[in-house]
Amino acid sequence: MPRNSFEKIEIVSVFPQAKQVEDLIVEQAEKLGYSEEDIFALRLSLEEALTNAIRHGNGQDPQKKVKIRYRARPEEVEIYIADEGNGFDPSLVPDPTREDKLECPSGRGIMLMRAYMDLLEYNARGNEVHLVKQRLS
Amino acid sequence: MSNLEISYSECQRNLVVKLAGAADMSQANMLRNQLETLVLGGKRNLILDLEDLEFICSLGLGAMIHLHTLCRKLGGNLGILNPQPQVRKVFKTTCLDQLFLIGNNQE
Repeated sequence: MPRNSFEKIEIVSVFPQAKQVEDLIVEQAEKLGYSEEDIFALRLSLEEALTNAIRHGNGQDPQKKVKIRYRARPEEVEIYIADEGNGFDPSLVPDPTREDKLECPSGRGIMLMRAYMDLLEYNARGNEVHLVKQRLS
Repeated sequence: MSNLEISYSECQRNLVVKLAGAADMSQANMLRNQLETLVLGGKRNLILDLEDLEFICSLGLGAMIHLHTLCRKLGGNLGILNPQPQVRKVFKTTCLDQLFLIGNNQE
C-alpha cells in the first residue's frame, strides 16, 4: 500500500466482521511498533466506533453496510468509519461521568474515544467518525 | 485478543467470578446473560476478579453496571478485584471507580 493512501473495507452490520477489521488495523499498528498503551487505545476506540456504527447508526440491520477507510503509518493511525444511518449530533450526547448518569449502562463510547484518541470528529451529518491516534513515543 | 473465559468459585457469602480475555462487543452480552441468570438464581453478592481481563469496552462496562444495579436491587452487591492497569484506567476515565468498589487482593 502506498504510504499516503487509505485502505478501504466494507462490512455488513454484524460484530464478527467488525472484530476482523479491528484485528486487522491493530495488527498493522503492532507491526509498526506502537506501544502497548497506544494499541489498547486504538483497539478501544475502534471497538467503540464500530459498535456505534452497527448498533446506533445502522440499527444492527445486516442489510446496511459500514464503510471503513484507514491508513497506518509510523507516526499515526488514521481511520474513518461511516454508517448508513441518519446521523446524530454528538454535542447532544450527555456527559456519562455526571453523577446522575453513572448507573446508566450505555453512552460512554464517544467519551472513551475522545479520551483515548488524539482527534475525534464527525462529519456534518453525524454518520461518519474520523479518528486519529498519534504515536506516543 | 482472546475470547472471554468465565470461571467461578465461592468465598464466604460471595460468588467470585474470574474473567479472562476480553469483555468486548462480541462477549459483553454473554457476560451479562450468564451472570444475570446466576444473580436471579440467588447469587446476589458477586466479586468480579479482573486479574486476567486484558480488555474492556463500553459494552463490557455496561454489562457490569447492569449486574451491579441488579445485585443492589435484590439486596446484594458487586465488587471489582485486581484490574490490570489498562482496565483500571478505563474505569477511572469513565468515573466508574466512583460507582464500583475496586480493590486488590492485598487490600
